[in-house]
Amino acid sequence: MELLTDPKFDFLGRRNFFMGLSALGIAASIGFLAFRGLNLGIEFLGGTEVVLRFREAPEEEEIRARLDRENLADAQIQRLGRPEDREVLIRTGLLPGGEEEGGETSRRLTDALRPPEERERTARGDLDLNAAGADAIALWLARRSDPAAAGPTAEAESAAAAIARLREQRGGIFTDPAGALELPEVSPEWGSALAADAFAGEFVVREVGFIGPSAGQELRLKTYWAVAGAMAGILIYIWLRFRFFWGFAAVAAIVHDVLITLGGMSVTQKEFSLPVVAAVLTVIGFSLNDTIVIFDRIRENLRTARVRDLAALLNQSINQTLSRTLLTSLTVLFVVITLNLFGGTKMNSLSFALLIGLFAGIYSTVFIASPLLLIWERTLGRRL
Amino acid sequence: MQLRWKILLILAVIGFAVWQAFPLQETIRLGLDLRGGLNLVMQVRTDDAVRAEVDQVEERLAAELKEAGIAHAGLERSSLTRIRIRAAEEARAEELRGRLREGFAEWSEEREGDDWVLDLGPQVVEDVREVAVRQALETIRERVDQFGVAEPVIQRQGLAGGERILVQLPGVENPERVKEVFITPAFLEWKLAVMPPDLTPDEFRQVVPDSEERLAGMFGGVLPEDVGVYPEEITAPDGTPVRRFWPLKRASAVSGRDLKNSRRDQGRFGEPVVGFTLTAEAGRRFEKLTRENRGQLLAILLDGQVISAPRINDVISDQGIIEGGFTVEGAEDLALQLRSGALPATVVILEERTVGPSLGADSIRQGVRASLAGSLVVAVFMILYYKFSGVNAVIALALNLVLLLGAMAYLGATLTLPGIAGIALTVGMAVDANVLVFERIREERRLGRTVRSAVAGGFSKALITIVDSNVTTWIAAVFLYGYGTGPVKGFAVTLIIGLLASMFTALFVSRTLFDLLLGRRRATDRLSI
Repeated sequence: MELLTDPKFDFLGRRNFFMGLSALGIAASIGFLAFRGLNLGIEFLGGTEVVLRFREAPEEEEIRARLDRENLADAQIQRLGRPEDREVLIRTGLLPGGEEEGGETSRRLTDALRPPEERERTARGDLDLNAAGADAIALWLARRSDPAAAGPTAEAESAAAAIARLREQRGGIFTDPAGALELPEVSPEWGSALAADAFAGEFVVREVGFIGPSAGQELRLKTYWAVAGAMAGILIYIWLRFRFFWGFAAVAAIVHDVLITLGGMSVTQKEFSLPVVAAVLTVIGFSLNDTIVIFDRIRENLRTARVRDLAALLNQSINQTLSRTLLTSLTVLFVVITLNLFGGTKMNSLSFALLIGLFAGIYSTVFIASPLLLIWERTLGRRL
Repeated sequence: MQLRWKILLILAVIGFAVWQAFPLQETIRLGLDLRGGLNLVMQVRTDDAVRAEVDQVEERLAAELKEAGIAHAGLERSSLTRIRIRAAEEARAEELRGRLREGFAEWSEEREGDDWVLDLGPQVVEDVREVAVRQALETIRERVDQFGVAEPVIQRQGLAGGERILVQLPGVENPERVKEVFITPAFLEWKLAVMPPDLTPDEFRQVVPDSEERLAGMFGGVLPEDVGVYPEEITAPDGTPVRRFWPLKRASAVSGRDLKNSRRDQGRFGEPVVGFTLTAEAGRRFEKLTRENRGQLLAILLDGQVISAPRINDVISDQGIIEGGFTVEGAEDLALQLRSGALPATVVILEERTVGPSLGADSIRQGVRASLAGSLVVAVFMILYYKFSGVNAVIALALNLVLLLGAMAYLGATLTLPGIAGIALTVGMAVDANVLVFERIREERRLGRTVRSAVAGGFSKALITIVDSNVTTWIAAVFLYGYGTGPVKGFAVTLIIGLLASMFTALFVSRTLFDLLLGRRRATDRLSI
């Protein structure tokens, strides 16, 4: 099978159209970035975030009303994943206390969201099956049999482990305790104890994060250094590899890719986190490869050409390397698409950034880098 | 190199990788985002320890000046490490200097007019800070031990003299409670209550005032010298929190330092309390105290707050209980903190990340599933497009993965969720090396070369081309590894190692496979590619 046998597309002929399209894309991206901005996570801004999975996700107003109890009503509330996941992300910026806040806010958030009935029941010693880990469940069961128990018994531990496993199967949260009572490891005595004094809490805390002011500052600094270093390394490599304007064209393609990717993140408002930065840098690295391949071929053809028709030569070079460019991009694209489809919520902003970046990279390699070379010679009258 | 040896080398490398990497569950270190657990970075406020040290010295100085009868206008703290004696008696200046030099040798003294200024030497301050951090580290380690977490990480962080502590507790599911236990200093004190004139202890208990002014009023406007005001927080019957203020002797009769042991216990009505045992020496002091103050109130303070003030009914020597409206867990936690000792300084959380186990398990499951699916699609494509040579590429790809996992296990690299994405990316990028070579071979065949020379031609300049195509990705990955946080480091590591391994598999292994295929037949003219 061969994708293209001796392709002869005229890439440069329609260059104005393609570059115009790019310009549009870049303008749109800048517009979105300016007005909608990026969904920056706490890694960049500092603050607290909690990810909760609800038995049944409440409406946003309800959540805000409960947060108001702790004066946290202006937190950012976002639904994650698909509606079936019933997952909610709640994020607050750094509170005025400065470093003193240290970890308090996550407790206040979860406290505020807990329905008062559940808080009372927990204070009385009832067991929230959705908040307790296997150890806590084991201890609770053991103390039911023997109130003075210092630690869990082996039977209690195996019962707790079975309950935790069941909870895993149910997506990490119980909608009601019934299933837990019927497990073989749970003795009838424990069964009735659970029936009377255990309940399935309204939500389960999946993840908690807090970045204080100094930690946030350090993370930002590290990120700047990572990006600056990587970009410097790449630019030096370009400078060594290419003579003047070729390098400029390669850099222009990179700038295009980055802007389009950031624009895509702004439009979809997916979380812009540190792994997303990593994805963008990787895409830059990868997209540069194809540019290098095409430029090498152009240089080779320029050397051996008898007649200098730059447009035709550029077209020829691109067509000659098209097979290779498309194939290498295709294989990575397959992987990135499956990551987007099956990778899950946590990975999603990373895989999406890779996807957009990859498409932008392919586009810029073929439709921007080479046409720029033509413009350089034709419009600015300089020889390559 | 002869074919035989090449094959042997390949098998040896693979054998090593397999031995290192399997069984997967046990060999690859999982990052926190996949394993679940608590990750804390805390800072020890060493200023507290320095302040406590200077406080003690200030008290000692005041006592000495009083004893020697040297008049002065008061002691002032003008900074963290500086004490100023105001308007000291001029006539006794030389004597004062002598005393200062002798009794407070670590302090530099200087005269400023009528005042004397003492500065704590910087070396001593350093030492105090250092000791504070070490003690905090020890105390936290004790507290973690008592929780019984498997494979905890407790490390001092920051450059030399760093004041940060990193704590990683995998598998912890109740971060709020664990955090509380760690960062509460848990400084316990017993202070005797001083009654206002005309009030018995039982009467006072009914009318504990809710403001400092009112308390002062009960004493006729001014509290006695050795008495301080200490707050208590209780809940009124209707649920609102109320603050009350107790007049207690400043000097603590007994403190948490005197505890030999403590554990959760049951009080008179079966409610949770904390039982304690004192050291022999402290027990004697306590016995004397309780004997001489029968009927008085003895307040128990935790971190400067009164938690209960029971009446001394009997003589207690070295065993007792602390009541304070504890829940079972509250009593358990306090007993734990007392056993490990109080933190020498406040500890503040700088950064926290807790991942619940269900999220960790989900992430692994989805990440692995996506990577496998992606690899499958790439494999199918390669076989469809390059036919039998595609199989060659798929074998190389599989080996690449094995090598990657083996290297990660060997190097102790941590696998994170972005790392799993990185592995998938490596699959997509690694196969490019094969694509480059195969396209070259196809081109050579189109030009009419024989199978053997086409294959040779395909691989000939492949190394340079493949290295070239990966350089920029490597540059980015290296910087990401250097400056990235945990998850990003995991991503960079899989890219770097994966691409390196792909060079071995795409060039050496694929070539060997080709040689193996073409070896037997003499002049083949067909190549499935």
